[in-house]
Amino acid sequence: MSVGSLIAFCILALVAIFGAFRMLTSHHPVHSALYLVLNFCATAGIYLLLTAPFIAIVQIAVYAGAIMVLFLFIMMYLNLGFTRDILDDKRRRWVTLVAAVLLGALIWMGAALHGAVTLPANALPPPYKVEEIGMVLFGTYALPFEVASILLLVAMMGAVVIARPQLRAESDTKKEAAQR
Amino acid sequence: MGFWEGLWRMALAPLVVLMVVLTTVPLWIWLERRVCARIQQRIGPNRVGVMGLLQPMADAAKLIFKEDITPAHVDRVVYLLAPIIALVPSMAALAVIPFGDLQAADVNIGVLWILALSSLAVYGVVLAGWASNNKWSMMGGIRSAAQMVSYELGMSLAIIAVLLTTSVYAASHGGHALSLRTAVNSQQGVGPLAWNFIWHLPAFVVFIIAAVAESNRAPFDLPEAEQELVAGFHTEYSSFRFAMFYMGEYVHMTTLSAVCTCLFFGGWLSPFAGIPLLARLNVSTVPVLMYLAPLFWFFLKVTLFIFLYIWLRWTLPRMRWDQLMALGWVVLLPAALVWVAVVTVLAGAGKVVDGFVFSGDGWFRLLSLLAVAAAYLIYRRRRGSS
Amino acid sequence: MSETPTEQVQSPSAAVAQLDASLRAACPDDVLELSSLGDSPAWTIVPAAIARVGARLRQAGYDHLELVSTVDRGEQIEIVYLLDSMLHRTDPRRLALRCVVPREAASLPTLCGVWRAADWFEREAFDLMGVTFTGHPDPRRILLPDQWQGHPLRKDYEYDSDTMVQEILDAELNNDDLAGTDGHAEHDGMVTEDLAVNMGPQHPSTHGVLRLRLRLDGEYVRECDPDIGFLHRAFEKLGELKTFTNGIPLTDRWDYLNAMGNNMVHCQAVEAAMSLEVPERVHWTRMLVLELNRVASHLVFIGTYGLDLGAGTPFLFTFRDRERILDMFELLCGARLTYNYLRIGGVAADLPRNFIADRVRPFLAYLPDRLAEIDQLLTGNQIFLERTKGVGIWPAELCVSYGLTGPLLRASGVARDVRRVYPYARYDQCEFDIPVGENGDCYDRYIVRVAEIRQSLRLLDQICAWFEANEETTRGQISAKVPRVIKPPAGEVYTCVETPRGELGLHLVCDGGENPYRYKIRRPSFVNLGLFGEVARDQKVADLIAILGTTDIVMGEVDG
Repeated sequence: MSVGSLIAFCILALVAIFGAFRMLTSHHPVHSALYLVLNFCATAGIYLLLTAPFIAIVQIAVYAGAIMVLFLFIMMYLNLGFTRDILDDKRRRWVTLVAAVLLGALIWMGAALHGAVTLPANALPPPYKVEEIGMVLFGTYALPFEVASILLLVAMMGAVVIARPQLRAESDTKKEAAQR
Repeated sequence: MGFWEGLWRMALAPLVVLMVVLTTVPLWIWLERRVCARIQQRIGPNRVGVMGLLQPMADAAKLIFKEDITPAHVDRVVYLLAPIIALVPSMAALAVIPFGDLQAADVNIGVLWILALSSLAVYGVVLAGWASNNKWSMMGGIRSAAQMVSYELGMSLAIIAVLLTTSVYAASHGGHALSLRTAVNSQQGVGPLAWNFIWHLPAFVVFIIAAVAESNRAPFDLPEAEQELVAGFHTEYSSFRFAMFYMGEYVHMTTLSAVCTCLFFGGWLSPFAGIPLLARLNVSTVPVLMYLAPLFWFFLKVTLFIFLYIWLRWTLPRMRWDQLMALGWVVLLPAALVWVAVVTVLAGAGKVVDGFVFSGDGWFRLLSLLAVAAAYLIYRRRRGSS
Repeated sequence: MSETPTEQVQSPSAAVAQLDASLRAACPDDVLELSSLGDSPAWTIVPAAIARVGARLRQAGYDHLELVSTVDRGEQIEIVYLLDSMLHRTDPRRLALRCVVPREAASLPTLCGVWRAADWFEREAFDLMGVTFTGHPDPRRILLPDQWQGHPLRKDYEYDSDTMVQEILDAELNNDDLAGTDGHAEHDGMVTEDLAVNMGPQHPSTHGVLRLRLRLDGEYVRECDPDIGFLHRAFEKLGELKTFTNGIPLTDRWDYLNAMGNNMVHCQAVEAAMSLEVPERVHWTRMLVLELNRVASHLVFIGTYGLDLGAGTPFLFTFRDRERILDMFELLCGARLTYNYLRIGGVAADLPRNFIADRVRPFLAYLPDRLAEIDQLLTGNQIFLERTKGVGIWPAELCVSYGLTGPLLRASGVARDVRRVYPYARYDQCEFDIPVGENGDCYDRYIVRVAEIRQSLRLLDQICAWFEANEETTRGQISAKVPRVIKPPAGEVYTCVETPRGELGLHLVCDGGENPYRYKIRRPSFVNLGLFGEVARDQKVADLIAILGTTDIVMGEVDG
């Protein structure tokens, strides 16, 4: 890892941690969302350093660009007010801390079992082409990919049905009719 | 690439972007004011500089020296940050545009980079609307979020359709499938006949409409619809913060026009290239013009698209919010989806019969023309019968 | 004043006698005496029975409450209702009802249940004359601030301006809650939050200082309460304070896009009160300027309506064409907006030489091409059609009940035009069609006005022809013989003209003095806006603008 990359990594990592921390401690949901976006962008930067530009771009386009915009949209639409600070609640603070430590331990254990906690000095993969990702995604893993999309589709339809009481009412009456 | 070289490139890239922004944005503003004046049978600004060319400078000077007001009830940090967020992603997106040989950064996934940053651009508008703590501004912000997320889908699909044929080219000629440079190179041939806007007509139309919506320009300027929302998301902004939104809009227009030029209009390629009788006009052998000609063609094409933006804005009434959403989701998205499917099949068919009378590319072009013509005929017949 | 300054009808026509008999038969104890108001019969009604008699007449076909006027008669206050018919054919077409209530207890039942137009008329009567209407659904002041004390049109009105203005300012400035608070509403089984917002009085699309208090549910308007009066300049009070001649310049300021029509209604009313006949040339000159003014006003409408829908260019196109009309008016009277051109018994100045040939005729040849241009830019535009067709449909019955007049009414298919129903000047000698709409949507309200411009051009062609035939023989005959001091005899008249916004009427009560005793204006913009609160409900915000744009209100006229 060159000096430049190391400096860049340190800066990005600090920004990412700062973003994550402030996301938790912010008083307003919109601020939290913005800190999360900051965290996403810093993470995308780290992906770039790992010569994984495709993942980096997808991270920005999908998470920062689409999902968080929808979050903001909902927050603004429902006009969510100021929330009580989670960390103000003493008991919650401890529960959160313990949960975080446990999660960290879990990840470390999982990684340790596969023996990939520390990267070897030149473990960076060579720059790859997007075409290769495409071949892997739609060739080798085509079935899991399609299953995942169907799962998302089902979830989305479920959300629509829950959000629209008329639809629910109609399906209820149909069910009743079927039972009779 | 050593540390110093990296640093040098890091410094150079913003410089190129800044140069492009600072030279084009005032030009577009001037063009907008003069063209809109002509459309409205007025003369337009003609006092500052020759033909009023310095008018944008005068505007900028005025805006900078105006009082910068931060209302008391706003969310201060987000309010101050929003104009910056509105401007920076559009400028960063310019970095991967190849203006001929001039390019800040030749990223091999340039198209993705542009899509990612253009999806970030919505933050400026949404946050400005929210932070202003003004009900009309917030409605502008909400509309904007919905609009930009919706039209991004149609636009991405239109781009994907083009990338499919570009990747076929990249496979045979080398180069990265997602680089804008490859996209331009794949359109070399007999002048404009080789450009994608003919062979990808549906994608081109979808892209143009989505681009206008993405940059919040009339007839899709709902986030700042004056007649409904006063000035929408930037109602509370004044002075240079307002100027940044204003600039951001033009930079966004420039970026999208440049992408459109690269993907559909042959980028820096001369319209005369490859045409036998006009071969003498081909200047690629003259030393200085060799470098200037591509720049000239590129900027001419971008200007054409900017002119299209201006033309639309001063001619059409504004659409309604729900009509806009319907257009995005019910018309553009399915149209783009269908076209992606058609291109996949046709390009595949072209690959199979490659070399039979035509090349694979030639087959694709022939079939795509037939497909569009068939779709048009079916539409005419159904319309005639109903 | 104790005596009632109305002349007894000499020989009531058969129709009036018949209606009189049937009214007395149906409501024997309610109907008192039969008098007249101008040319129309007028029945005096027992105040407590006004709603009953009103409902009876509504059934008999008097579906249009034209005006609610009030007159301070000293010990008593007289309320005058003018009824007319739109969808039916009644004989007599127009009639008046009078109620006399004691000054100290000026109260009578509301007519809101019979004609919806009564809502705003009665609020105005309460605001300015202090008559309360029992059972009124919304008995607030309408033009003056809520903190106002007293009722200015009463003859004994006095007020302490300094303290009251200070109180009003304090109340307004300390009101943090201008739009009202956001609330919760439940629908579709989901609790949603309503957004209370102010649209106006400073808003680009409210056409002046109109304020709409909106309650929004997302992009939908759930409640709309128009708040008017920001531009109230007390024209009715001023009218009483000025002599008949000095009142003319004031009329320019009511509906400033139609100053000629305002001049006309004032002069016509005074002439009617004086039984003054004006020369033939004056009639045609007046028609010339009235029709030109109508074209100018409708051009402003087309331009601003385009602007309301986000199209900026048609605005400049129509203002360019309107400029030519303003140039003509400038030649005529030196003014471009407030003309002060008509005079009692005539007009201020004769047409300049060759005015018709050099100015009007070229304009008549010029405008049709420009209208075709507008048709290309707006009328045929797909986005424009989608924004206007099927948006804001007003059924004819609703319009009639709210007393709408002018293009708004005609767009809903009711072919009522004052120029045809109660012809004035020489409109009865001219040929013109009354364009009507089919659906009563925004598109129809727009297209009816475009068609009216074409009809005006047709009228102007006939007017030009009259001038071309009679220019030399009538030149200089621009005024009747008018006494130096104008003192119409005691009496009252109601006259009306068709302005671009509808029926502009003037209920003029004279007591034989140099000033009007009562100067009640029927302001079409005011009446037309009365319906807005109802039709705005459940519209999208964007459609609200599109609908408000078609009402083509001028706030100077709404606020009086």
